[in-house]
Amino acid sequence: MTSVVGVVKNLLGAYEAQTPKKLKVIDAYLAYVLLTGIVQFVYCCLVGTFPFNSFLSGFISSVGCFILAVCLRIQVNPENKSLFLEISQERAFADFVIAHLLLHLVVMNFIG
Amino acid sequence: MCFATPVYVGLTSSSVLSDSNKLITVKATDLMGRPVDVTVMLESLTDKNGKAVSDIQFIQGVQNIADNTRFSWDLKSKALPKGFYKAVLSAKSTKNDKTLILPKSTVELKVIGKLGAVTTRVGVADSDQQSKTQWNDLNKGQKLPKRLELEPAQKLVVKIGASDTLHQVFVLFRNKETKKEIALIAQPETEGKTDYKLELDLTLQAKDLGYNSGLYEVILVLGDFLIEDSVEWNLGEVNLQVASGKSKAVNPLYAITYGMKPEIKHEFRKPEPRPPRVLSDAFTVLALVPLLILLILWIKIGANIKNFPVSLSALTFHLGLAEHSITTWVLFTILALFGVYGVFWLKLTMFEAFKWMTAPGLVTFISGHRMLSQISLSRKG
Amino acid sequence: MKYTESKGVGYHPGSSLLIKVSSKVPVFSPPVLKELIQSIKMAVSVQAAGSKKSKDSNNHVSSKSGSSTNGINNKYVGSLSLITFAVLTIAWITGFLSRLFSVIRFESIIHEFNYRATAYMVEHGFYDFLNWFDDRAWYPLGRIVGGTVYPGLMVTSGSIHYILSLLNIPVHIRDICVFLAPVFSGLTAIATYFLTKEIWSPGAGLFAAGFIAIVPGYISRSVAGSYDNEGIAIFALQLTYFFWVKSVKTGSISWSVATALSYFYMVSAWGGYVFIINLIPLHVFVLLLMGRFSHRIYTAYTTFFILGLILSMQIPFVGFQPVRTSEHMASAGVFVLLNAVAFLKYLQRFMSKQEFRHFFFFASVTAAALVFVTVVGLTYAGVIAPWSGRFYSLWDTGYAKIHIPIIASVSEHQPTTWFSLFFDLHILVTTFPVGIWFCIRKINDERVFIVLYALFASYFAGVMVRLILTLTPCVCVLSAIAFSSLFELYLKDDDSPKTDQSSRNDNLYDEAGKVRKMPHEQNKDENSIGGNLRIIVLIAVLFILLLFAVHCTWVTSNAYSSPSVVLATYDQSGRQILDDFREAYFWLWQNTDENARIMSWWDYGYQIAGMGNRTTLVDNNTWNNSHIALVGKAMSSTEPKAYEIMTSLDVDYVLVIFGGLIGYSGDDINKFLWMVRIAEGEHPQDIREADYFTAKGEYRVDEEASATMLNCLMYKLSYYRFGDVRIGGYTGFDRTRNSVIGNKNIELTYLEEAYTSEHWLVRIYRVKKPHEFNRPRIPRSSRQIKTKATLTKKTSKKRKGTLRNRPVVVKGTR
Repeated sequence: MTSVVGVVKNLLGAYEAQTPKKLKVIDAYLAYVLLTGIVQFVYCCLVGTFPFNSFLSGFISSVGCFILAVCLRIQVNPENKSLFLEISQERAFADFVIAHLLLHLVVMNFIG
Repeated sequence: MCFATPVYVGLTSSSVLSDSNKLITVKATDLMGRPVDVTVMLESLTDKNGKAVSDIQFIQGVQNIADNTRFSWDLKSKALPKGFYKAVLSAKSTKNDKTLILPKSTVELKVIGKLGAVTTRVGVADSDQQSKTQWNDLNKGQKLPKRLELEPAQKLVVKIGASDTLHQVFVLFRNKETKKEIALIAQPETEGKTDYKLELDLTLQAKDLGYNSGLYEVILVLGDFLIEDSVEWNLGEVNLQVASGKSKAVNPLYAITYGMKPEIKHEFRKPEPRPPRVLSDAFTVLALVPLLILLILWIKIGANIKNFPVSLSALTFHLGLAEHSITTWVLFTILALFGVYGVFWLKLTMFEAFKWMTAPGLVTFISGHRMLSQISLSRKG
Repeated sequence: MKYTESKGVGYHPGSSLLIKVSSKVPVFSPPVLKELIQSIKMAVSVQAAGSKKSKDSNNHVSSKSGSSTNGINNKYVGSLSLITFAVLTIAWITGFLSRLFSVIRFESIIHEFNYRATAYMVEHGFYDFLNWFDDRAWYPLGRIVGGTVYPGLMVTSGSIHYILSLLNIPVHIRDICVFLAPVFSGLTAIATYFLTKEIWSPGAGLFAAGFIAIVPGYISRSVAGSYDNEGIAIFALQLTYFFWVKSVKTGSISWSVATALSYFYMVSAWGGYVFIINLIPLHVFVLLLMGRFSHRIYTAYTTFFILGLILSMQIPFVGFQPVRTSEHMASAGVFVLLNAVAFLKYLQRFMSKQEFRHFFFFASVTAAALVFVTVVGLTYAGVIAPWSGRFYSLWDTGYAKIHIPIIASVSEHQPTTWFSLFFDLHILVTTFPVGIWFCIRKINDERVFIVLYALFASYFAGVMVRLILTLTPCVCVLSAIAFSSLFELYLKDDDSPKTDQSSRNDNLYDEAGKVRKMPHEQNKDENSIGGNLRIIVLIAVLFILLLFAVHCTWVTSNAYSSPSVVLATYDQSGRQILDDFREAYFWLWQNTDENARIMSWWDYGYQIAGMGNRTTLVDNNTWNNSHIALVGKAMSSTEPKAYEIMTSLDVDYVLVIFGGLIGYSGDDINKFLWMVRIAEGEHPQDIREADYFTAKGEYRVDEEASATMLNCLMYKLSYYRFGDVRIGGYTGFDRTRNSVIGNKNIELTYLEEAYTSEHWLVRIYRVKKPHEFNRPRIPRSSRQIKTKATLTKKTSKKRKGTLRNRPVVVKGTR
C-alpha cells in the first residue's frame, strides 16, 4: 500500500514539474467538469433518474465537455506535435468550439 | 263551376271502445279537409263473425257545434261484448248536392273490457306422479297462505282458469336474492279452452332456472289485447330446491347486453415522485461549486497565461486589447448562440431555433476564422 | 405523372454523353444504353491510361495528398481532377438512369407507407408528424407513427421539397419521393469514391464509384419508385465510414464531429445504424489489440462516441435504447476502455517502469472489478436490456425459425444462397477477397477497418439475403482496390524508378512497421512482365468488366425493376400487364365504406392503406406480433371460428391474394404455412402446424390435403368458385401448385364474395353482419328469453293494422 502512495506522490511531483501552464489551465477545467459530472451522478444515485432525458443530457454534456477538453489537451500538447501534423493549436481550438456548439445544441434539445 | 267533390269520412276518436268511453267521433270533409254540408249516419256495426249488432242501425250522428265537420255517437247505452267490430258510415248531403261523391266508409273498432273471474291453483306434485298433488286454490289477488317448499324430485304446477282466452299467460319466477327473473309460459290445457297450465319440473327443467336453488317469488302475468286491466299477480313465495348442474357459458357473440358498456378510461402514467425541494436546491448549489473551484484554480495557475492564446481565458484576455475587436465579436456571437440555445430550450421549436442561429453562427464562423488565423500568424511571426 | 416509352427517349442525351467518353476507347462503342454503362469502366481505364503517360501513376496519388512536390506531375493535376469529376458525374448519371427502368416501363407507382408519411409531414408540418397517431392502421390499436418510424427519409424528401418550393420550382412531393433513391445512389457513389480514396487511392475510388453506381445488390433497394429507408441509408453509411476513416487518419475533432453528424443522419434513416455503432468500436478495439493505439484514435473515437450517443437519442424511435440495450453496450465499453488506456499511457510518462507495473496492476484489478460489478448489477436490475431477438437471429440462423417466425417468414430474411450472392454482385464477389489480401498486405489503421467491415458484412450477408445490401459497398470498395492494383501493375511502363517512393507514401500511417518485401524486389517482379502478356491480361480484365456491366443492366432490368403491385408477363402477343392489385385497391377505394376495415395478411397492409385508403388490421410495420398472430389464426381457422375473431375485430372485408389462375407464386396459399406458424406461436392450443400437412408430411392443396387444410378460411377464400373454372381440361386446376384442388364445392356462410379482380389475383370478401346470414341457431341455454316451440302459434289470419287519427291536412295560406 505504501508503494502505491509513493507512486501517487511521485506522480504529483512529476506532474507539477513537467506540465506546461497552458495544459494546467485545461486540466483545471477538466477537474471542474469531472466534479460536475460526479455531482450529477451522485444526485442520480441518491434521488433517481426520473426525468431520464434531463439526467442524460446533463451527464452526457459533462462527459462530452470532459472528452472534448481532453482531446483539445492532447492536440495542443507539444509532446504530441508529431501525431497531429496538420492540426495547429488554433485549428484544435476552433474544432473544440464547433464540437461544443453542436454538443450543447443537442443537449438543449434533449433536456426537455 | 261544379266539380265533383269526393267526401271523406274517417275516425278521429280512438278506435278502442271501453266501458268508460264509448264515444265514436268521425270527421266528414272533402279531400282538402274543407267542411262540406253533409250529415253522417252510422249504418251498422258488425262483429268479426259478421253478425250485426241488432240495436245499432242507421243512427244519425250528432254534429259537433264548435266544429261542424265532426259527428259523434255515444254508444254507452248499448251492450257490446269484447271484440273487434266493423262500423259502416255513410254521409248524406243536407242540400242534396249532386256534385258530392258520397262513398260508404268502413272503420274498425275494438271493444275492450275488464278481465273476468280468474282462479289459480298452485300445486306441488311429485315428478313420478306417486303422491297426490297438493293444491292451493287462489282467487284473484290472493296470495299463497304459506311458502311452498319443493324438492328436486317434485314439480310445481300452476293452473289458471280464466273466463276469457288470454294472449299472454306468463309465470314469472323472480329470485329473491339475485332479482333475476325467469319467465315461463303457461300453455292452454286444451285447445280453444280458457284454462292454462304450467308445470315446472325441478329436475328436468333445472337448466331453465340456471340450476339456481333458492327463494323465488311467483308472479302471474295475464294480458290480452281485449283486456283493459292486465294483471301482475304476486302468488307468493316458493322455495325451490333445483337439481344441481352446471349452466353452459353463454356464447358472448350471441349474448345481448343491455345498458352502457364500461367506459374506457385512459390510464396516464403516474409521474414519479419528485425529490424534496431542499435536496434539489442543495444539489444545484453543489453543481455550481466546481465552477468556483475552477476559477480559483485558474487564478492560481493563470498568473502568467498571457502567452497561451488557446483557452477560454485567453479570449477574455484579448478583450482588453484594442486591436482585437474581432475577438470581441467572436465572444459576443458565441454568447449569442448560447443565448439562442437557452431560448430554444424554453420555448422555440427546432426550425425556429435554426433560423435564429444562422446570423450569429455565420458571424462566429467568419470572425472566428480570422481571429484564429491572426493569432496563428502572430505566434509564428 | 406517367412515364411512357416515348418520354424515355428523352434520356438519350445522357447516353450520348456516355458515347463521347467511350469513344476514347476504340474497342467498345455499343450504342445501346445498357451496354454503355460499362463505359465507366472504360473511363477509369482512360484515367489509368492517362497516368500511364505520366510514366508514374502512383506519383499522382502522392501529388494529390500534397506530400510530394514533383514538378513534372503538376501539369497533370488539372486533367486528372477533370477526369475524376467526369467519371463521378457519369457514375451518377448512369446510376440514376439504370434505376429508371421501372418508371419508364410502367409508371411512377409509389405505394409505400413512407410516402404516405411524407405526404402527411409535408401537409401538416414536422411536429404534427411526430405526434401523428395513425388510426387507420393496426385497427383497433392504431399506430403512433412519430415514435415508430425512422424519420430521416421523410425529412430528407420533405426538405428537398421545401428548398425547391423556396426556389419557386413546383414539384409534387410524390415525384421527389419517386426519384429520391436514384439521386441518392449518385451521392453514394461519390461518398464511396472518397472512402476508397482515403483507404487506397483515387484510381481505386473511381472504380468503386463506378461499381457502386450499377451493382445490382444496391440497385435492388434503390430503383425509382422504391421509396424505402435503405435508399438513403447506404449513402449515410458510406459517408459515415468516410468521415470515420478521415478522422482516424487525421485525429481531428471536426472530422469526428462530421462522423457523428452523418451517423446521426444514418440513425434517423435506418435501423441498420446498429451495424455502424458496433463496427466502429470493433475497429478501435482491434486496433488496441494490435498495439496501434494512438491519440488520433482516441480523439476520433471518443468525440464520435459521445456526440453520436446523444445525437442518436434525439430520434424518437431510438429513444433511450443507446443507453439501455446490449446492442449499444459494446461502443460504451470500448469508450471506457479507450479512456482507461489513454489515462494509463498518460501516467506512464511520469513513472518509472517499476512504479508503473505496480500501479498498472492495482489499477487494472480495481477497474476490472468495478466494470464487472457494474455490468452484473445493471443487468440484474434490468437497466440494460438483453440482446433482442432480431439480433440473436443474426448469430443463430435457426433461432428465428423457432422463436420468431414473423422474422423468418419474410423472404428477405432467409439465408443467402451462393446464387443470389453472385446474382447481386457478379464478378465483384470473386475479386473482393483479392482486395482484402491487398489491404492486409499493406495494413494500416484504416485498412483494418475495411477488412473488419468486409469480414462481418460477409458473415451477415450469408445469414440474411437482405443484408447483402450492407455487404455491397465494401465489396465495391475492395474489388475496386483489386482492379486498381491490377491496372497499376499492368499499365505501368517498364522503367519505373520512383515506385519505391509511392509505396512509402502508401504506408505513411503504417506504424507497426510490418516487414515487407523491399521495393526493388517487387520492381524486379513487375519488370519481368512481357508486353504480350500485358495486353492479354488487360483485354481479359476489360472483358470481365464489360460482362459485369452487361450483367448489372440485365439484372436491373429483369429482376429489380418491376413494382411489386404490377406484374408483367410476356407471351407471343407481347408484354401483358397484370394490374390486378391496383384494380382491386381502386375497387376498395370506390365501393367500400370510408371506414371499412380490411383484413389481409400483413404484406398488403401498406398497399391497402396507401392505394385503397382503407383501415387495415396489420401492415408491413410488424411491431405487434400477437395482432398478426390473431389475423393468422383467423385465416387458418374454420369459417365459424374465424367469424368470431373477425367480429371481435370489427372486420368488414377480407382480402386474399390468389395466384392459382395465372400461376403467380407469391400468393397467400404459398405464404399460408407462415400464417399458421405465427398463429401457432401465440395460440398453440387452437392451431397446430401439423394439422395442415398430409399424413406424409406434405403441404398440398389437392384431394390428399388434410381436412383442416381443406376447411380453413384461407383455403376457402382462395378457392371459392374456383372449382367451376376449367383450365387445360381440368376443373379447378391450380397452376401455381400444379394440382387439382381438393375441395371444389366451397360454400361460404359468413362471408360473401364481394370482388374478384380480372385474373383472380385479388379476391375480396365481405363479412356478413349477424342478421344477414341464415341466423345460427342459438342453443336454448344461451337464450335470454325462454320460449317453447309449441307455443309459438299464431292465428293464421294476418291482422290488419288500423290507422288512428288520420292526419288533418291543413291548407296553407298564400
